Amino acid sequence: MNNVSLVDMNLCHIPDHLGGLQSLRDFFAATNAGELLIASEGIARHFGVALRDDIDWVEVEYDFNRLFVGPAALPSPPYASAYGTEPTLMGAPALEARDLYRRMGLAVPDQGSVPDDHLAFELDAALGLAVLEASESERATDAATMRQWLVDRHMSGWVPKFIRAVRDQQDASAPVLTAVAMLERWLNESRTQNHANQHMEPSSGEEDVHDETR
Amino acid sequence: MTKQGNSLSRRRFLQGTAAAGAAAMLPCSLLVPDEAMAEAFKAGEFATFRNACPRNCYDTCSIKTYVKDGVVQFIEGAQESTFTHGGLCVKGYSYPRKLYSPNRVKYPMVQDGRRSGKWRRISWDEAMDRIAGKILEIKEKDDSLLGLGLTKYSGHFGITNYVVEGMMSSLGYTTRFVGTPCWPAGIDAQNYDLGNMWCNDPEDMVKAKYIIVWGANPAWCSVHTMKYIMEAQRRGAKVVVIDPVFTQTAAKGDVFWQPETSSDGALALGMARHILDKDMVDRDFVNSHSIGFDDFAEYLRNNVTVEWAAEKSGIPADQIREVAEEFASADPATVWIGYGLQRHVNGGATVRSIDALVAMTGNVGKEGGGARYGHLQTWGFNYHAMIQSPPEGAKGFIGGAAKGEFDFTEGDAASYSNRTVNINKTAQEILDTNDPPVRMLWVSCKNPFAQDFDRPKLEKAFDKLEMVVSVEQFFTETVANSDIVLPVTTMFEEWTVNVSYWHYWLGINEQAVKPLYESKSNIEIAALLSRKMNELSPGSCTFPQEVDTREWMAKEFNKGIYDYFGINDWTDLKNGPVKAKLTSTAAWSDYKFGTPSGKYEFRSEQCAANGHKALPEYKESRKSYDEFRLLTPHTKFGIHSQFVNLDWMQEYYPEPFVYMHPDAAREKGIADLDMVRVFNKVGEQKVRVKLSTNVAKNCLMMYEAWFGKGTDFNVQNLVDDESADMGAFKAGAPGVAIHDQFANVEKA
Repeated sequence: MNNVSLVDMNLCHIPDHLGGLQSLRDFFAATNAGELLIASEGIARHFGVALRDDIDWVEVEYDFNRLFVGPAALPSPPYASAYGTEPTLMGAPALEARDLYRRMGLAVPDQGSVPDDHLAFELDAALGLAVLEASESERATDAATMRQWLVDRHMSGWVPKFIRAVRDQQDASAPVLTAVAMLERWLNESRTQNHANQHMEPSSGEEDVHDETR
Repeated sequence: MTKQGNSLSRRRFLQGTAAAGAAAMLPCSLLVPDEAMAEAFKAGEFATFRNACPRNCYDTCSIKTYVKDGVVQFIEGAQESTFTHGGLCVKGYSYPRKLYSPNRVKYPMVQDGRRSGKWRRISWDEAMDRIAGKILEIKEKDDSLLGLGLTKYSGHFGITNYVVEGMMSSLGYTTRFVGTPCWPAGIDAQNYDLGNMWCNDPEDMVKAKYIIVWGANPAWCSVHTMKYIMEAQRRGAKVVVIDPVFTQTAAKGDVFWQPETSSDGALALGMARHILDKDMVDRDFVNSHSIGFDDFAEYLRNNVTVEWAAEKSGIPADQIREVAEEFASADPATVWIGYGLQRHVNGGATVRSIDALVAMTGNVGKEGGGARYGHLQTWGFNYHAMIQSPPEGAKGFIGGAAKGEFDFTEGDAASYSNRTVNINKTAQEILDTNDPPVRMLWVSCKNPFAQDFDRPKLEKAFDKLEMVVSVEQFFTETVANSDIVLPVTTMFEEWTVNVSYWHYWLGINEQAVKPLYESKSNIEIAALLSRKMNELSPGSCTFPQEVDTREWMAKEFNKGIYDYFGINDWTDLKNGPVKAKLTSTAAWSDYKFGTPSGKYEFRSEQCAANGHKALPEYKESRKSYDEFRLLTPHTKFGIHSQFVNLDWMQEYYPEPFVYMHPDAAREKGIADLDMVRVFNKVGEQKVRVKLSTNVAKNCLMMYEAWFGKGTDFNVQNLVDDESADMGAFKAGAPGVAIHDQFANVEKA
């Protein structure tokens, strides 16, 4: 908080329409039953879906760990790199995500230890960019470009596969299935919105290029 | 290769959103300000690191690791080592898949009910709190820590990993599972005959004129040694492969013998008798450098004939004579004694009879010759991590402890010791040990449920334990039977140093990348536990609470190691692995043997004193108790349960099988790829069958371990814990008769 002049931009305030995204982020970053409960309440509130009051949240925690954390082999790892032709982590998508965060002045904590392309980090970046994009900042346009890349080019490549992998687990718990359904809704709405924006602003910086040899 | 890029870097106009202070204003709560402050992302240069494969494998490969952007990109065998010679095996090349597997154990976790699958994340602090609390509770209850057990073996042979034993010692006197399922009967045999287990440099096998690969499959299990065998063969050496299974090594041999399993001793003695009859004994060696040969010769004349050996083994007498004569007349001739052939109730006796065959032909002490089994010549480290003192006032077991073959420590004079129990009877020992019982088990560098015998009994035994802590990289069946799992680093994420029990190279293992997730090395885990122990009960653990793993690796070196390998400092190893400065590539080249007599002992009074025969006499094999012999050797795609769960391996080895001879299958009405039930007195295993003439008609074969998604395959459902004849002398406990198992099969 040492740069007072930027506070006026009030970026720390998350507008209500992004509350759903924030709750999704918190859900996939959860480490215990309590955090899953709070995030699920947020998802229910912001997306307008029902949340049953007879849920055993410790059971949800077990299920969440079975699907996304471990220690057993994960049927649906929440990392972009796990959805390439050969499932592995710290692949090209992780470095792409790292590049995006770096352009935002951010990084995952203890970079190198934590795969940069964990779903929760990507949702966190999407949230930050969405807020910046809606602000008066001179960087709003760049934020928009980056968010479009994140959603359309990066997350669209793997999040649908991730969602399918979760749904293939027929006994997944209700709060997990709700979170995944709302993730799908958020992704689809973001893509639709991006598509509409691109039609209005054809020169938004999108350019197909071929990368150098990796 | 150019491919469609997906990076932001080429996008027009994009400056990024980073600016001083701006990042802190974003509502991001997971991402943190980037210390490097948003320099444009540059594809980094490759940095290289020295690594060493720490698996329980002959080859112990020196590895060069290429890292970019803090990520291991690929690895290769070190070119500097003539043994590794720039290449790795199929398992070695898959290491990055292990490091970056989505399925690694990532966090300390606790299971609410064993085998329930109900896991919760806990912090390292909470994990240590639970563990230290339990240890203190045991101490309070029993007035000692004998209720705390350690089972650890060869899952990670880095020298600093002996810290696991050190951590236990720093807590007090505990219960240790001692011994080895691997090679102990043969170690004892070689100690009786020669005074130590000490093999020639495997690179000198090119000098051999005759090679018998006996019960080993290097084409799968020591791929780098194959090039020396193939070169010897190219130069004219005959290669004889003896194995109950037609292996890939057998396919490359000039002669393949498929004897009745466990009849190898009879074969060796039959050859010895023929060599004696033909007067092809090396009299110089026998007269000058051995004792007891006349007694051995008399035993052979009175008890052994080639026809008897032929009947026992199923190998025709004329072939036995032919190979015996060729072996005796070749100079030098060598036998590679595999570990498989001594995993029998007569395994030690068998190795002694093969040693005798090599010795009587004067091939011991000769370059290109030798009875090759293994060695520990290069293991003279400080064992700084391993040697830790118990806290003052610690109470333990009175009556002396057994020591494992890798335990190079001098025994201390303390009146208390650890309580040692047989690692090859893990289940029975847990069930039988009382006053106090083993209440808590620490499992590290080992997967007991994949490797310890009689799995149904092991599950019962684990259920007797009050707490099980597994230190692991993957979710094994042992983890499923644990209360707490702690994530441990791979070799890319830690410092250590490695040597081989086969070749004579030394290599360091540098930390190449940060530990993934919350994984920690065994040294760091010991320090964390010590901190918690001392926090809860000051003075309860002597292990240092702050450690630097690079320093701890450096502390393993000494002048002896430096001189033996001709280096000035361990940092020289950053330039690549180095080989010991050997005066001869042959073991025992000066004929000064380590036996009580100082000579090769055909007759060993020490062996007799330990309850065996003084001479390398034939010992009967285990009596069959079911229709088929069951063999459970190693697969090409794993070392025990390691590697087999990786995606690259499962691509080639997607499902375990039982291999069965087509004639035997026909009699049972079993067709290729049928699901069958293999069963015996221990338990049963459902598995798909593959018909193959590689196995004998009276034999079923299943590769040892397989785990991963959606399988319960475990050969230990069919293998009991019958002891081998030898092993207690030098390895702390008898070996185990892994290949003396029998079973039946029917269509499932």
